[in-house]
Amino acid sequence: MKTTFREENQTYVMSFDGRLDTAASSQTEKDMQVLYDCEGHDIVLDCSKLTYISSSGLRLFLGLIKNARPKGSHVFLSGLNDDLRQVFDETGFTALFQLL
Amino acid sequence: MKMDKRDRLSSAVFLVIAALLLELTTAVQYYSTRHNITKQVTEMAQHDLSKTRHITLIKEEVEMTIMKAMPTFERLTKRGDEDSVRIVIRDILEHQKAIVGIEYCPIEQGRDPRGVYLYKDDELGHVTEHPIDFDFTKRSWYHQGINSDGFWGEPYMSNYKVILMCTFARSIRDSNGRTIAVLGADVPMRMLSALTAKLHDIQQRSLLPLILLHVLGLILLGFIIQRSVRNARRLEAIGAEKERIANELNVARNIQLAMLPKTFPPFPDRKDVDIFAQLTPAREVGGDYYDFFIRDEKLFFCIGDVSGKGVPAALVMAVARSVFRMLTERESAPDRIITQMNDSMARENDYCMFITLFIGVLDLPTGRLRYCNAGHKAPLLDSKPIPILPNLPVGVMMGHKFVAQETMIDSGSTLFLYTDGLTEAENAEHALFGEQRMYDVYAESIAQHDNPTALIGRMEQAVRSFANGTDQSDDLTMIALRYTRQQFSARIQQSLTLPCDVSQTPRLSEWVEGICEQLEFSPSATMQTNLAIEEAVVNVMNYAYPKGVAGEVRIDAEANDKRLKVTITDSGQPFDPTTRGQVDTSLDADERAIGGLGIHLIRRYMDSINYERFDGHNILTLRKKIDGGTSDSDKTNI
Repeated sequence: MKTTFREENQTYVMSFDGRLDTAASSQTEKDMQVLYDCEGHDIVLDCSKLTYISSSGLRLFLGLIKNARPKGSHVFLSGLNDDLRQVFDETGFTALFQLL
Repeated sequence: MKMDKRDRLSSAVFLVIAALLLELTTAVQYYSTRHNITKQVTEMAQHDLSKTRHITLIKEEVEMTIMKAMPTFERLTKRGDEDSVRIVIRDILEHQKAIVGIEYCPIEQGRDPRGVYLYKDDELGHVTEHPIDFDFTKRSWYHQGINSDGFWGEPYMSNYKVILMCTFARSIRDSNGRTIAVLGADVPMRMLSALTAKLHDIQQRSLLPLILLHVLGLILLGFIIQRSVRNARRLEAIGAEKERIANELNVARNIQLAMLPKTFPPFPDRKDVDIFAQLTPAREVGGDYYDFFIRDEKLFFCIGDVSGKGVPAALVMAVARSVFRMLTERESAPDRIITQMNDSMARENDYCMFITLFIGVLDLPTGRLRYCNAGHKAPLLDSKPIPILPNLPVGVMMGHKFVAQETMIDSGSTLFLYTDGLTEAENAEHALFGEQRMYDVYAESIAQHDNPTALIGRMEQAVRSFANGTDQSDDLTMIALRYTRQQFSARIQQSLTLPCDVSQTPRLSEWVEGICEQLEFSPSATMQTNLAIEEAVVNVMNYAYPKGVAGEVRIDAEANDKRLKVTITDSGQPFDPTTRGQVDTSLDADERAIGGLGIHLIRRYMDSINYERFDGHNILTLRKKIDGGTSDSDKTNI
């Protein structure tokens, strides 16, 4: 699991590359700390290279949105492949994020 | 609605009084009528008598007057002195009250009939002459009088006054006896009508008390009718109330029956279990209860009998059903289910209602039956009752610890559960159907290889012919359950043992992907299988062993052309992920709990999940159909 972070026009963008399974989730949680520290910035989670996500990964996403929303941030998801989109649908996560 | 006793009494008293009054009125009316009729008849007779006397008097007076005047009329007629005739007539009219007019008709040969007519035109006796302008020869008095010495003609309507007139006619003859004139004396009939009016008076006077009596009678009758109508209405209201209660009971019965699984066969796609159940309430609603369903490859079933019958028992049964359904969502151990049901139902059990209950949880892949009995009769298995601990019925004592038991059900065996409505069914001689008869029918049924439906049909037939038309006194419930273990011949068999460490999940996923490749799964199916197995294994790693305790988790995969079966075994503390509540995926982020997603994903991506605690191991089995999709319709075991 590889993550990259960049800031574009007051928007935080994080790209995920690879498998976000349970084993990868603790490192990814650390990587996402920068997003947790947002101050009203909009956040884009670029999932175009994400190949797998387990419930541990989903929990990180849920934790992020719970943290960012009260600060006025919007969390966007982009590039989900069909299989992952289905996982998000099954767990009701699609409704929690704004999909790009 | 209940009719008050006092009300009924007052009603009876009123009716008796009414009847007595009616009798009295009838008696009074009878005697009064008799008296009146006697009086009336006497009066009428007397009246008739006086009338006759009166008429006779008038008649005689008139006849006498005319007779007396006859010689004068003879003389004057012979002389042809009509002026004198007029004077005589006038004199008669003025002195004789009864006669109001006199016709004098001389008969002269060869001349048209003519005559003199004088009459009194008012009560003062003023006499006037009036030309005769009618053909008197057509009058009966003239006809008859022409040859008569005195004849009363029939009454006729007078030409001058609208009154009924009667004329006394008499011929006037010469010395040779030849009629030379006819004399008619008119007597009005009104004399008689005055008498008639008097008679009416008499009648009216005597009618008055009768009418009063009738009115009284009618009022009384009205009272009685009003009273009857009121009673009828009340009865009608009671009838309507009864009908309403019957309707509601009928609805209640339908609701109660709707709570029971009653589609048979209940699991047409399954080869491992066949069930038939039947509940026959003794009344509209009853306290018997059964339920069954499959969750995570386990058949949960129960049979119960609430103390008492009818609506109270039905209410307790409904509560028991809800509690059972609620608890079994999260609990697979029958002793814990019953213990919690008992605690929940014994609390605030003011009416001391209780329920005998048998709960079974049959692990369908293995045939292991875990059960807990709470005061119910032991089910039959292989021709004998299974060993049971009696325990207390549910609802008797809070905090009672129920103990579970366990047995293996051989493939092909049929478990038979019943309520005491079966063994205590009575015939006309109050003999009981009894356990021996039940054993015999069961044994025969097994010998005949009956399926569950046939077994219950046979048992019902036996009870019916035993009762022989005697009313069913108690609810009767029977369940027959046949288990057939499904054998699995695996084409692929692989296993992996991992230390309890989540950093090991990449190894797991590599292993799973290898199996999926052999089974030619699509990338989507591979991803889903991988996800489900990872979630299951991570669950074990996180929860089965306490922090700091080393342990292992073993994963076995078996597959044939139809199924993939993955068994995850650990020797940690008991942990049943299937009893975790469902995640509400419709909640917003703020309300969403962080946990519970893993089991949710397993349920979504595998066809079944099954947990068994056996021999110190947690055994979690996931099954997935191979020929595409996560269909819920075909759950045939491997």
